[in-house]
Order: sequence, then structure tokens, then C-alpha cells
Amino acid sequence: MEPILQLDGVGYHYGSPGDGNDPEWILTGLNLCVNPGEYLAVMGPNGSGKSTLAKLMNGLLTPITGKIRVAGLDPGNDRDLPLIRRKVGMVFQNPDNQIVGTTVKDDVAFGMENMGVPRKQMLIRIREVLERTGLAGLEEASPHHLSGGQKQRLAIAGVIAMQPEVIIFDEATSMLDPTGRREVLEVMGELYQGGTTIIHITHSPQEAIRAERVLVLAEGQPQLDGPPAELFRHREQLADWSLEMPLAAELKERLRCHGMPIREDITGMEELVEDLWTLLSKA
Amino acid sequence: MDIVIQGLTHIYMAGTPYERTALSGVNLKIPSGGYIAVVGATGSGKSTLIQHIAGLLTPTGGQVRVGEVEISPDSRDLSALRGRVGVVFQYPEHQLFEETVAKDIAYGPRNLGLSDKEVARRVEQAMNWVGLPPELSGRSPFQLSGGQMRRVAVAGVLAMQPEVLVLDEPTAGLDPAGRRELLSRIHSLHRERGMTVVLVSHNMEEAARYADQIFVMHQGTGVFEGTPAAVFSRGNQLEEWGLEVPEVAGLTNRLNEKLDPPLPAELLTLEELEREIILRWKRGRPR
Amino acid sequence: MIQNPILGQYVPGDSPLHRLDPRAKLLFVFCFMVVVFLANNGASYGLLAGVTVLAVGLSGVPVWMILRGLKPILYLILLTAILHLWLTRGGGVILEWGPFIIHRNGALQAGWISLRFLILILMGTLLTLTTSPIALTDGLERLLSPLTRIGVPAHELALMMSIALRFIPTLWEETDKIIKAQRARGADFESGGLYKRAKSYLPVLIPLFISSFRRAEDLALAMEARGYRGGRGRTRIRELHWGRADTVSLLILALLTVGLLWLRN
Repeated sequence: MEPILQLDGVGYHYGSPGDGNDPEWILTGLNLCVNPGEYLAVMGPNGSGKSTLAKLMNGLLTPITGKIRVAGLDPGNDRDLPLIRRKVGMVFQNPDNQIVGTTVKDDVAFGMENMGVPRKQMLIRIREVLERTGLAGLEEASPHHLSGGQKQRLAIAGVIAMQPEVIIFDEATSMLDPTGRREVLEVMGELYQGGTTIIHITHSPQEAIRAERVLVLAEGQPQLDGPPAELFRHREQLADWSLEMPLAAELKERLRCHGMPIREDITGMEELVEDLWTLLSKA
Repeated sequence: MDIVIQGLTHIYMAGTPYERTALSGVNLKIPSGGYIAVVGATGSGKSTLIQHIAGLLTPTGGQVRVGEVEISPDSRDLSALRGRVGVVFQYPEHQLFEETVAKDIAYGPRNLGLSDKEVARRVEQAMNWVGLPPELSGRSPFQLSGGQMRRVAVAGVLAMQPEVLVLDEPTAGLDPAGRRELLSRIHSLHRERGMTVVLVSHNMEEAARYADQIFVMHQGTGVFEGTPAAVFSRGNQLEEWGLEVPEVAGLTNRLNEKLDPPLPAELLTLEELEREIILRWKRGRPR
Repeated sequence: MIQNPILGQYVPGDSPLHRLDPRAKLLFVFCFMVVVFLANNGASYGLLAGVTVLAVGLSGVPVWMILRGLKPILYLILLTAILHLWLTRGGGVILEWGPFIIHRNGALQAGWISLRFLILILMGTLLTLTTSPIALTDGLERLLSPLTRIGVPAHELALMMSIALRFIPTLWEETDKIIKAQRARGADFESGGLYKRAKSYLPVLIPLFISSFRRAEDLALAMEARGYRGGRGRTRIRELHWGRADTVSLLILALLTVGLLWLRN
């Protein structure tokens, strides 16, 4: 299978090369392959380059060293950029600062207008994406009156109206309340089921565990990369990068330290509950 | 300073087509030196409530008494509360404005009319309380990391040495380590200095870990008040109020479906759950 | 909470004026403001007043709401009227009281000027009362678009206006929050002289500027990520419909102009 995103030896630093200071490299020689339809969570401490990685993936930034291919296209090439922006959508952290339109409908249309989608087609797609994001009926509402979760779903609606293959969520849940977070995660799950490649940048282990694959980024390099079950066995390493474990994994580790014979490969809540039932009822 | 709230009602833009009732008939008593968490879904009236405690809004109906100061619908001058009630708003780093960290923290104490010497002393003390190294005092607050900016903003409020500290989602946007550190520092100030704390939070784990009372708000009224354990034993009702059941409580409930006798329902933190399970396991194991 | 100034203007509705194309309304009001100056006697002012009353009636907006909007301008009208009463001479004295001498021409001028002022303001108010800010922006963009060839950035201007409309409530709320936060830190915005009061707002203005810049940066990035590359090759979701009523409104304008030319001295 041809990867949808491919990074070869990508390095990036901010600041211009001529300003005298030694540049501080955010990413160095990063290799990464993402296949179509994957659900990848990216975790890492603050300043580990997660957001930079996101911006590199849809051509908002151009790598200083190395190469990026997005669905076979080159973000460094100006002619490819419009197509890359269409194929790779982004949802940002701050719900307020990414809504352009004065009404919900206007905002969903913004990306399509940029692509030159005919009006008739736009109206059909707007109906469809508002339905999918649970915002139907709010077409004429002012974005200002939406809740945080609704604003983020609006941002998602605007992105999926452009029919992208990949959607990057750059800490898109971090400013939401629990309800808003749940709403956004649900939409993300549905998109993944529908075949969209999802890249979810997050601090939260509960969110990361929903992905099929988790990448831990620190000091400009991938530190761990694998399915969540495998990843959350590396408790000490995670602590090194100031990352937390999901509750079930944390509890399992702690109980094992006390000598309780819980299966090592457990990460999910369900399995842990099963195991504890057996152990405690024997008692 | 006891805080007594009676029949508090607040209507925004009263008498216009945009009129909105944010609070209706809220009653609440916060004893001096207490630590209370106000929880509830977005739009339940939490923020409006705490703004009354800080004297930033006048009630539409009812009254708020903070110490000897009474605020009722016709109160005009609320300045008596300035400095005695400190407020840390959501994303407080967005209110920083001075050239240096020290100057920004000094803004509040200076407004209280304190001497230069006293202001300097309080700035130093407040930086120490929030864990900011003294060498940062001459730096521009805008060059700091997000977590450090947050601490500067909190120090700016603490430097006024308020008797009551009101915090609106103080940990929003911080990473887990940053969250824990900020709240445990506030908690130790509460213990050591007897500072009354009112914490507004979405995060039930945080509320449970630090507060001795929890006040649940739903659609502009108080629907429940009690200890964290009492609140979490409410089970399904929590969801009706738009609250998340804390993960630990959720896990305990799941375990209790098949455990006889069940684990105590009021386990709130991971440490407590861990201890109970180990206890149970060791008790049952033949030596 | 501070009252939102934008919310205060537009009154949603479905009156004939509401339904007019914003381009027609803009053209009408713009031309009307010019032809108003043709009137110079009772008959011509009467015609103008008649059209204005008709427009008020067609707008379906309650009269008290329109009058409330006029209140701030009333003093200005009064002041101009008094100046004319006092300073314009000729046509014989009609009233004399100490140093105040009112001439016939003065009284006439004062009356006409006040009426003209009132008519102008009423028409402008009706435009904003019956047209949403975003429709106004659309109308303006379309009207200006022929001028893009001579370098008028019609699309960019319209985009700027609509982004401003989008963010005004957000910034309003933010201002309110910062004011409260600084007040809780003991800020005093009320006492002292003008200089001191202006200075006391710095702790509000600086954070507001910083956050506006941050928002602008975020928004620019978000727009770029959604494929924005300027006005070229864009399609639009908003459309304007020029109907028969719009043509009729411009015909009325033409008739009005002819009428005024005929009736004036």
C-alpha cells in the first residue's frame, strides 16, 4: 500500500538562517509513514514538535532538511499546494480562532469557496456535513453563540466539506469541556470508520488509547511508536516525557508492584475489570 | 470571612430581547477557611456565581455577604472587596501586560496602596508560592512558556494576599504535571494560611482530590451540596447534571457489579482504589 | 456585561425593505443623500418627507426603535438649528428679545436644515435597521467589484469587514473579561483626571492587543490551511437576487429626482 504521508529525514527549526544564533532544531531527521485509513495519535511533552509536525504535513511549513510526500504530492511545490490543502485538512486548538464565517453555513462554505466548488454542490455538501457533525438546524446561527464543542464540530464540518483524505487534529480537544470533548471524539471515531486517515495530537492518554497506533515524539525524534497496548507498558519511559498512563494501565502497574498477578498485557478497562474479578473473588 | 449567598438571582441584559437568566435563587454558605469546588456543565451559572463572590457583578435579586460586606441589587460601591477576594480567571495569562514579571505581579499590591518595600516583599513571596525562580523577575512575561505565564498570573493575584481565592478553571490547557503542581501549591497555601478557596472546575477528579465540599450547579441553580464522596455516590444523577463520572469512580462501580461485599463507593483517587484492592486481595489470600 | 453594539442595530424582519437586495438599498440611500440637497422649498421638502415616511412605514420597524436611534443625533440637529436662528439674517425681523434677533430667513433655514438632517439620518438608519451587516458587506463588495480593474481591492475589503463582524462579539466578551480581571486586581477605571483614567485602561488595552494579534495569526493560518489564496477563482455561497422590487425602488428614486427638480425654486 502506498503511504498517504511519508516523511524522510525531516528536520525543522524556527528563525531565519541568517540571524546569527544557532538555530534550535524542533525536529531532526524524522522518518514517519502513515498509511491510508490509519488512526494515529501523536503524544509528546510541550515543545516536542508535535504542532510543527502537523503544520509540515499540510504544507503550512516547509521542511528545512529532508522530504515530505503527501499522497504522492510535494508540499514544497507551489503548484501542488492547493491539492494538498484539499487532501489534508486541519482542525486547530482554539475553537474561536479558526472560524471565518459570520454564520455556520458561511463558515462551512469557506474552504469550498476557496476550491471553487459550484454553489449548488456547496449547498448539498453543507447539508450533508452539518448532518454528520450534528449541527443540522444551526445553518444561520452565529458562531459566537455556539458552545466550544459545537465550534470544534463546525471546524470539522468545514474541513470534511472539502472531502479530505487525512484530517489532522492539532490538540483540538484541549480547550473543551468534557461534553465538548466527547462530542468531538465521537465525530473523529465516525470519520475513522468512514475511512478517513486521522492524526490526533493530544496530551490525554484516554484519548490516545482510542487510536490504532500511538507515536511519542520528544526531542525532535519519535521515541515510541506502536499500538497503544504496547506503548502503555513503558511506564518509566512515558514518565520521562512527562506523559501520563491511562487509568487502567496505571492501576495495573501499581497492583503488579504489590505482587498481584495481573496479566501483563492488559491496557483496557474491560480486561482489567475481568482480571480483578477473578483475582478478588478467588480470595 | 464566611461567605453567605441567599436567593441569588442574576439576569443578563434584563429588559432587552437578549435577556438571559444565569442564576435563579442560589443559596450557599462557605465557611471561612473552607475549600469548596463548584462543578457543573458549561452554562450552568458557575462563572456568574463566582463573579458575585468577587464583587464583580451586582445581583438582580437576593444577596451575597462576604465577611461584613453585603452585596445586594442596589449596592453601588463594591470596592470594599478588592484585595480581600482574589480571582484567577480562565486562562489568566491573557491578562498579563507589564514589561517584567515582577512589575506585573506588583500591579495588584500597588493598587492596594502598599509601600514600595511591602510590594517588593509580596512579589518575592508570591513568586515563591507559585514556584517561579527569582531570576525570572526581570524577564518579560511574554517570553515565558505557557505554564510559567500561568504561574505569573496566579502570583499576581496571590500577591494581594486575599482572604478568599476564587479560581475559574485554573488548570485549563496545562499538561497533567502542570495541573497537579498548580493545585497542590494552592492547596498548601489554603492549609498553611487558612485561605478560603472556591474552585470552579469541569474536572471531577480535581474537585474530589482537593475540596472538602462540592457544590453542584445545573441550569442556574444549586442542585446538590456535600462531601466529594457524597456527590459521587449519586451515580446516574451526575450524568443528568452534565457531569463526568470520575474514572476512578467509574472503575469502582464496574468492579462492584460482581464483588461481594462491594468496595466502598466513596473511593475518589487512584491511590485509594489501589489501597482498597490490595487490602482486599491480601485479606483473602491464605498465608 | 457590555451591550453589544452590533446586535443593537439590525432588526430582523420580513418587510418589503428587508427583502430588497442590499445593492438596491445601498444605491438608493447613496443617491438619495445626494438628491436631498436639491430641495429648497416647502413643496420639495414635502416630497422628501413623504418618501421618508413611506419608507419608515414599509420597513415594519416599530417607530419607537427608529426614534431611539435618532436620540444621539438630536442634539446636533438642535445645535445647528439654534445657530441658524441666531446667525442667519434677512427677510425682516420676526422676533426680538434683548440681544437675540430672529430673522425670517433664519427661522426658515433652521427649519429646512433640521428637516434635511432628520431625513438623511432616518434613511441611513433604515438601511442599517433592515439590512444585516453581512448583507451590507456583500452588497458593497458586488457594487465595488467593477472597480477592481482600477485597483480597488473589493474582495479583500469585504473579507476584512466580514471577519471584523465575526470577531466583534468575541473581542467584546474578551474586553469584558479583562476589565473584570483587572478590577479584581484593584484597578480603578472611574476616578482621577482624564490622563489618569486613560492610563488606567492600559492594563486592559495591552492584553487586548496581544490577544487580537494572536487571534489574527491563528486565523491566518487556519484560512491558509483551508486553501485560501485570495479572491481569484473563488465561488460564493452567498448570492444576491435582483428582483422586480429592486428595479422599482430605483425607478422611484429617478421619479423622486425628477420631482425635486420640478418642484424646487
